[in-house]
Amino acid sequence: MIVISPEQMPVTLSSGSLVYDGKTKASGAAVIATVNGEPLTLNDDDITVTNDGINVGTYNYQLNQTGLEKLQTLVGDDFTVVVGDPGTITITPAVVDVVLNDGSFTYDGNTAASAAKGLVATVNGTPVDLDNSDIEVTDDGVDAGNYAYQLNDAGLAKVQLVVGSNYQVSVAVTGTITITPASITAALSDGGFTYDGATKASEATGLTATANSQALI
Amino acid sequence: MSGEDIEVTNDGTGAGNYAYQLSDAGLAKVQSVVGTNYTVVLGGSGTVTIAQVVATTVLSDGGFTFDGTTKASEVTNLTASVVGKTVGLDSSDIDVTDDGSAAGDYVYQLNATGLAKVQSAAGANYTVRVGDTGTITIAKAQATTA
Repeated sequence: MIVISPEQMPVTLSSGSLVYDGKTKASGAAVIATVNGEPLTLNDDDITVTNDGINVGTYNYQLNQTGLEKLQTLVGDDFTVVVGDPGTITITPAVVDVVLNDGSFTYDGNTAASAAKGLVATVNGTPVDLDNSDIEVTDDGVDAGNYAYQLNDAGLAKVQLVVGSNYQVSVAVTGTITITPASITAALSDGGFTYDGATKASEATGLTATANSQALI
Repeated sequence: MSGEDIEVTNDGTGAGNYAYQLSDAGLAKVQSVVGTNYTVVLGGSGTVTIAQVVATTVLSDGGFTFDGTTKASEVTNLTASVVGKTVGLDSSDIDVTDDGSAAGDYVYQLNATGLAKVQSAAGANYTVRVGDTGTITIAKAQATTA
């Protein structure tokens, strides 16, 4: 009697991925096992994930006994299904937008928009204080007006550090820094002339308006 | 600044103090000078003073004929003139040096009352100052023989 041993047929496992959502484990990813050209969609009962978890990273998985038996049933008795190389499941970071607040200060002649205080980037509801090393201001300057700003690489790294590796921080809409005009008071000179019966007070000459010790008109 | 740059409260030609402030046009002019880094706000008012003209009195000469009792200061036909105004004077308005009733020339000048009377006639646009003295002459009476 000749016994023909069934040919061993290794299983090929697909790579799977899902986006971090704070609750779904790697084992929840959709993966496919293929044997002898026959694909089978696997669920989390069919596989064992090494160090299964919800955090961003790459996880190895392999068929467990349940999965192996399902595949054996699929291919029938002509082959013996054996496990092959492990597959990988990648949990990728969730993209999260940064919201930049608007800031303002009063013109002082030498403070640039980029030196504004109180700038905050909010990401995932968490505020991150920014300083001038964290931002890039378009056409930065000291004059009164509106200036658009965005996170630079350093600022992006700071925000990224706060949210952690489960999120991919994405810069979105720019913030605005407003340098508001300084208030300046016009001081008026006193003047006059001798009564001549015809010249009105409003016709006095030599009157000046002065601001910041500078005669203006 | 020119007249259009300011607004004068109760503008006028009479002597006195007038408060003024920048008009909208003046404020806009100042704002354009300081540029967009500043917002100009109005401060305190300025003052335009129209000063009074100093006017000097001219006193008339007058007199009467000696009668033995009437003093020089009681003369009735004196006037003081200033800036075209003539004011009649009486004894309460003048001081007579060495006043008396004897015949002769007496020098007189306005006293404080007389100066106030002339100042009132001249009006608030003038500051009246006393000028030269005037003369009151008591003429000798014609002597009659019995």
